[in-house]
Amino acid sequence: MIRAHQPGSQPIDIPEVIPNPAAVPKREPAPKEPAPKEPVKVPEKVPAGYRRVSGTCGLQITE
Amino acid sequence: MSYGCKLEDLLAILHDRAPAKADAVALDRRRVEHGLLSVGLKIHFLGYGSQFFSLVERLGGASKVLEINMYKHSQASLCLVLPPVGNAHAAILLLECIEHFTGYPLFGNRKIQIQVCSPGRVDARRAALLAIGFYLGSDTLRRYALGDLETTASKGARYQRGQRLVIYDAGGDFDRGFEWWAADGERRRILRRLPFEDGRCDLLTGSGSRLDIENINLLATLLIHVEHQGYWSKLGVQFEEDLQSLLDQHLLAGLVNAPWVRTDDAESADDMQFFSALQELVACVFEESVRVKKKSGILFSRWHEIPARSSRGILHEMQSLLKKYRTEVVRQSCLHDKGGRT
Repeated sequence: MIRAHQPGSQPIDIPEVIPNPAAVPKREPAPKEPAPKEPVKVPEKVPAGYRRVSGTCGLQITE
Repeated sequence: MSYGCKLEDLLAILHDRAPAKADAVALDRRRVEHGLLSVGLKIHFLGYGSQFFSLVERLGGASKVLEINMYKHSQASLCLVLPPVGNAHAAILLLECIEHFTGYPLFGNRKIQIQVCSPGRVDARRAALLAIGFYLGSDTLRRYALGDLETTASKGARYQRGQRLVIYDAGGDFDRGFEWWAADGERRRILRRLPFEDGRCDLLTGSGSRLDIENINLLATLLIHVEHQGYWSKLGVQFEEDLQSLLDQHLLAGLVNAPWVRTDDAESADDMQFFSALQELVACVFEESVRVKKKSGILFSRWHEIPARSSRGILHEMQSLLKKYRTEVVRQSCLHDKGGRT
C-alpha cells in the first residue's frame, strides 16, 4: 500500500494491486446435472357417460 | 539457464499428491495446441521458502535443483526452474500439481513471482508490445517499484538484463523439441522442432494468474511468429497494428519507443527510461479503473462512483483484442484439423 498526501491534507491510500475490472474471470465448465424431467401432460379421458353442462364449471353425469 | 530437474522426475514426485493432474501433464507434455509456443516457468519465492524444501529435497537437494542456477529475483530465497511444456494448459496444470504437493498457493500470491518463458527472441519494439499487452490484459493491475523487477542478472558485466518486465534469456539449456508451425506461402508446414537453436523472451509477471500464462502464450506466439516468419506471422502483424492503434487512441503510442527490454544496443540500458514508460501506463489504467469516490453534498452517508473515463476504455478494448485473436487462432487451427487447409 502506498500512502500519498500533501501537507495538511488527509492521506490517501493507493493500492498496489487491484483487480482489472475488464477481465472476466474464466470459469471451468462445471459438470451439469441432468435437468429434471417435466411431467408429461396427457389430456384426461372423459368417460363416455359424461357431458359438459353449460353454465357450470364441472361435469355432470347424465343417464 | 539450466532446468533444475527433469520433468519426468518432478511429475513422479508430484504424482503422490496430485495423481490425475500429474498424469495429464505427462500426457500433454509435448503437445502443442493450435501452433502456440511451448511454455517454460520459473517460480521465484520471495519468502523463506520452507514450503518448497520437501519438494527440493526429493528432487535431489538444493545443490542439484537450485544452486545450479545463479539466476533468481533479487529478493527471492529460491527460484525453481521448470522444464518447458507444450502448451499453456499443461503449464497451469504443472503449477497446480506443485500447489497440491506443497499445500501453498502459487497463483495470485504476493510471495510468489511467476516468470513465463517463451522460446525465441523478439526485437525491442515487439518486446514493448508483449509487456504492454500482458499488463493491459492481466486480471490484476499492478503498481511497481523499480526494485520489484531486479534479478541477479540485472547488473554485472556478464548479463546486464536490467530491471525490466521482459528479459532475454541468459543462455543455458534450450529444449527445441516442440512443434513449430512454419509458413509455406499461405499454407502451414509443421516442423517437429523449433526453428531457432536458442533464445527466449521471459516475462516477470509478479504475482501471476492462469490468465496471465494464457495471455503471454498467445501474445508471445503472435509476436515471435512475426519475428521468425512463422505461420501466425500474418495474424501477428495484424495484431501489432491493432495494439499500436489502441495505444494511439489512448495517447500512449510513444510508450513503445521506451526500452522495454535490455538489448545489446547501449541506448536500451536506461532502466529509468523504461520505468517512466511503465509508470505512465500504470497511471493511465489506474485512472481508468479506479472510480472516483465522492461524498454526495447532500447525503453524506452515500457514496457515488463516477467513472474516470466515459469511453469503453483501454482495458475493455485490450480484452476484446485478446479474445479476437484467440478466437481467430483457434478457428484457423480447427480448419486445419478438419482438413480445410494444411
